Amino acid sequence: MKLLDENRLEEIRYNSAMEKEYYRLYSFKDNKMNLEKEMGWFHFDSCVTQIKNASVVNWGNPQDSFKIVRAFSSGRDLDIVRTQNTIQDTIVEGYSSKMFHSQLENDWIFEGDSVHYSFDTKLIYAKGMGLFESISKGEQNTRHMQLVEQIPWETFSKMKDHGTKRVAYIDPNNTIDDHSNFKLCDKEDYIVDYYNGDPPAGVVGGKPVIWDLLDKHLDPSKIQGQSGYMTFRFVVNCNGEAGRFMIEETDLDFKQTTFSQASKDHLYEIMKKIENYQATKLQYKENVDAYVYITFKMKDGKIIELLP
Amino acid sequence: MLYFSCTPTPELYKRTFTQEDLDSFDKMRWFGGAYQGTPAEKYLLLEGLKHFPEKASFWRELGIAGLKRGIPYMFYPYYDKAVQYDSIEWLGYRGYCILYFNRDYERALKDFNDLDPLTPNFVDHPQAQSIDYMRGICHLKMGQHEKALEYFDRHLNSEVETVGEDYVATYAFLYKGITHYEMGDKQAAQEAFEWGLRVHDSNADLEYWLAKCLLEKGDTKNALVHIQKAKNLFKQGYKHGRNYTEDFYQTYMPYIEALEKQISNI
Repeated sequence: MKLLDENRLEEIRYNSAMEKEYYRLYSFKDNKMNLEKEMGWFHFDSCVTQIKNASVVNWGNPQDSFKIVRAFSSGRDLDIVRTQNTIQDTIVEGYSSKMFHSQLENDWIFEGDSVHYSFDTKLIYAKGMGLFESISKGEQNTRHMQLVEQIPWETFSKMKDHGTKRVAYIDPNNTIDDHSNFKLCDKEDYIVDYYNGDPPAGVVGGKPVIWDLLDKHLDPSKIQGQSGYMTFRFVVNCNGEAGRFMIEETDLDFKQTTFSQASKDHLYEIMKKIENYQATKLQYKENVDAYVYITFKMKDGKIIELLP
Repeated sequence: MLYFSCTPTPELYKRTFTQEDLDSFDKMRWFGGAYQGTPAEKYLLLEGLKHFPEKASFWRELGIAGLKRGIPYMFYPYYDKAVQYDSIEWLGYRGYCILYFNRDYERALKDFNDLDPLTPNFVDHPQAQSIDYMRGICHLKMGQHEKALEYFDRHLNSEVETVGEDYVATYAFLYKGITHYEMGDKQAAQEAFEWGLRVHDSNADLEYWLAKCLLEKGDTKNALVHIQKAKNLFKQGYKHGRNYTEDFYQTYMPYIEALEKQISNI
């Protein structure tokens, strides 16, 4: 959080991996904290917020209400109405605090359908610290957030610079193919996994196509003595083109290993003979880019399984 | 929730968790909520493991993205921890994962066999599949047909007794039949496929395998009827298949067309 001037507060909310999730700008006027601007970024989605009634908390009038509509890039809208009911003075861990009780009504709207959720919400603001605790009790679950630790920005900056990527990320600068002519259809962060869509992304015709290629082109001498899981991971873009190939190597005891270069080169040459890939499609969306894998499971120089 | 400050603050807040706090977190079914395999999920789970280093479900969740995305060394060590801390809960699930995703039949079978005595007089169903059924698949794929039949029969008898024949999943009939077929007992195989079709009358896989049996008996007329049924049902989507991985003995249209051609040419 950052005070921009006497009356304006900037809040950037980060998720657990310290990735930016919400930008919010608040102003303070007449005992009210008003939301002036909000934008959000999430996994495969983002939102901009239309503010209808900006009062996030009102110290003067307990009956005030807060109304916004979050418009998500995925096409959904979230209509939020939070009506403040009572304000109570309280002490939390020795801090003078105010507790705001409110009723929260959320409506998710998509292509004419809507789903409604109600929550009984409690927000506790501690003097000099800001939001200290929030509890939203719904019919099916309760969301409870508590302040755990305040840390200086310098420390946080170092923590958020961790460079951790998603599990099974493919670094385009560290692939085995020249993919200069391979184009993603969307942003790299929006590449889904093969199993997210229907049909799943993969090889048209499935494993029989690969077994046929192995029957025709496999030179057993090139994989002699090899055992383990040789996994080719790559991207199938929205047009059904494959690129960004890389190899993950695991032994039969599930430990990372290294296969002979000759075996990797040979099986990659066979992989390159696959002609048709299936792009995947998400519900309510056109075809999208997807991460796909094909594993050659080998034992003592023989391919015993194709996965998945 | 974590706040940071850009303005100098003389004293920054840090919460000290009481045992009561920890007990209440431990009861939570869901620790945060982030998409599987994202950095956000990883950091949530690692934070949870700082407080609950023996929480099996956190270890298990850390390994699932690696499993689904084809990197066994990013799956097994985490799942192994889950089994170490709660073997009754996770042994069977690990066996399921190793069976379907890694096709390691010996290791999967060991997990099912290790789980069984931990839950006496109870048939475990990790991922909603009976361990007897999955033990049958392991033995079938290992070429141990007698043992496979023993487990498929045990599974079928138990299912018929507990939920009734109409609710037995198709594939138990299919794999029982395939086991007989691979043992060379085409008559018993045919009976298993026909039993399956009496319970589930629309299944391309059962029709395909029944056609194979009939062809080998020399009954080309009925073999043709059943392979054509298989073809139509396959086109309509009444076929074997599963999410994430290919199924065992999955039927493909070229297999059906090849058999149809073979039958028609006789």
